[in-house]
Amino acid sequence: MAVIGLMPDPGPATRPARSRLRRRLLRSPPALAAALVLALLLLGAAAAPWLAPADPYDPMSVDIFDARTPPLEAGPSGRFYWLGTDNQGRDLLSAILYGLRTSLLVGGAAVGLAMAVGVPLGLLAGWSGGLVQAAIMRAADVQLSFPTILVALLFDGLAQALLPGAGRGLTAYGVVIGAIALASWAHFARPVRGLVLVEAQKAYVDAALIAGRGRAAILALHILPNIAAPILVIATLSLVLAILTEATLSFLGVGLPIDEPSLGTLVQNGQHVLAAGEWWIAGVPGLALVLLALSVNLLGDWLRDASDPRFARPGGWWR
Amino acid sequence: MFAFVINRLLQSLLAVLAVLLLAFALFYYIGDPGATLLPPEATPAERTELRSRLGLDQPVPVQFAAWLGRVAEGDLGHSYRQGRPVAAMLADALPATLELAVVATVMALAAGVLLGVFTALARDHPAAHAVMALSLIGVSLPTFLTAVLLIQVFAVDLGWLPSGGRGEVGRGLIDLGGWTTGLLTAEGWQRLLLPALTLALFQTTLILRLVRIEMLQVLDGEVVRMARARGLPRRLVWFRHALKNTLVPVVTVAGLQFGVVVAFAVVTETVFNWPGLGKLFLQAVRTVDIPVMAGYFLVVAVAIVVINLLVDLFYLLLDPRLRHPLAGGASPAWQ
Repeated sequence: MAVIGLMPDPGPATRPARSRLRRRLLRSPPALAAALVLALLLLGAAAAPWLAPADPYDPMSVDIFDARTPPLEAGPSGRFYWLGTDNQGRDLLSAILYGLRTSLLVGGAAVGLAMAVGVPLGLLAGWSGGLVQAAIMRAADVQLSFPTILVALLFDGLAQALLPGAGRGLTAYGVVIGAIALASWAHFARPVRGLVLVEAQKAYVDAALIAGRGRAAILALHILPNIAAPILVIATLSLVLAILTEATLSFLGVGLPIDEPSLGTLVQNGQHVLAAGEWWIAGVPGLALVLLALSVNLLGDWLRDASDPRFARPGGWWR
Repeated sequence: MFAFVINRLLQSLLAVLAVLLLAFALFYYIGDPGATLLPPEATPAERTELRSRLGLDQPVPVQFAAWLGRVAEGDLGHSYRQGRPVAAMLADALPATLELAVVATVMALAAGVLLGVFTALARDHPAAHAVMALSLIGVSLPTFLTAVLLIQVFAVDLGWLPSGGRGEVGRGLIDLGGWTTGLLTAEGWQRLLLPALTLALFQTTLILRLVRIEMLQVLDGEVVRMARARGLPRRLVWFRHALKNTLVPVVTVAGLQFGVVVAFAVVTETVFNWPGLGKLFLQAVRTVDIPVMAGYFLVVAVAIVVINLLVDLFYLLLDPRLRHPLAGGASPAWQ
């Protein structure tokens, strides 16, 4: 629901040649900038163990006397901090690099899971019609009328009631990923069904039917590749939602445990010391999160325009 | 049209049923009432006795019916943590959330429509480009960061507004017989402003984009061409004809988004220490207080379903095209 307006029902797919995509990317400065920023963030996240000046979650590498050092200054211990330290003396640059890693891992896994559930259900609903379609689509409608964050919070609370230790370690990751995926499978199922309905009318499907292909094969081998581009666009915009939901859950203290690196938890730490003038403890991780969300959003918008000329209206790159 | 209304009513009933079943399951299968009402050393006989006294040995449909009866009377059980009736806790928190959500929605509508009209009419003006670029940042800014940013600027740096709390009766709040309101005092408004702005920002970007797209489409459409051909002045065409055609979908989306506003009130209320439903729910999630979770879910989910239904019927009332028999189960284009 929260992505209404960003996510119009994608139309039939057209597959632009790769070189055309690249040329278009070069012609759109905001998309190009977003791609560069995203590449940097991805690189930083992937190489965090080698790039980070310290392991922020290893108590041995944290000097409590360096706590609350502002950015670009050295702490009392003489160590220099590019982005400052938080209220426990953790190097914020390192914590953010590890936090980006978590954001992308959790967001990617949640979107992957939502796709793995939502796309087949959408294909099934679009192709079979009748009772199956009615059941899947009503379920999607009910799901879509409740906001992502509400569903995720409820799932989170349930998991904590049912699973002992749900708030700790790997289980916590599983719970957060599951909560976000549960809240977003319908973002895929609904448009995919619409796309299948359009594709099923086309001659190539008739040709495959005449050639004796089975239903499953037609869906998987013929229709799916043809609707891959709009699915990819939805996945991109879904990724932003998933990343922001993880950060929000962790900020609220019901997502990842506080000893796991998450941008949401870092902002939560900093929120308590805002009044003391230490803006960077919440501000710098917050900025990293916005840069990540903004660059993926921009690329998603651009991808939508580039992959389907119907959306590329004159007058602005943001549509 | 008749088929559409029936279809839509059935769909809402289905959603309410799903919500009721889930809330019931929460109460009875996850929050085992026996576990909380008896001491751990209770004998099996005592447990059996309690189960039959509570009706837990009855078939599930009978239990469900009994539970429905109690819900209908306003009995949502008792909080595990505070021992208070859940219904009373929800009723105490309701005014805070409702005032926050309504003020935020009004702010979002006003700002969103104004900016949307501006960016559509002056589409090549640099300021319009700036607004659109900002709106993209707006959708990439999670609610909790907006809250932190506003607190930093308006409470810490400028010191104009308080950073949290709704005040108390006598200090910002006025008790109107069971409904505490902050809308009647200056201090109440000061306290309301930052949380409402936080909640309104995301909605504003959404409404802005919607108004702009709708307005651009209407401006290129026949209504405007005909009006211009009749020789009506430009401003009249813009605001009488174009804007009017834009507002129906905007009101619809604002209605549908009310659920999102309430959901994100969880975040806003937590950051601003605002004693509303969202804060209550989050505390329940943190402390695994099942009856409160189930009660909140029941109330909010049913409210969302009812609002969505009303919005769809309202849409039908306003847009005659949908009433045509051929339109059948057509839903608004953006869904």
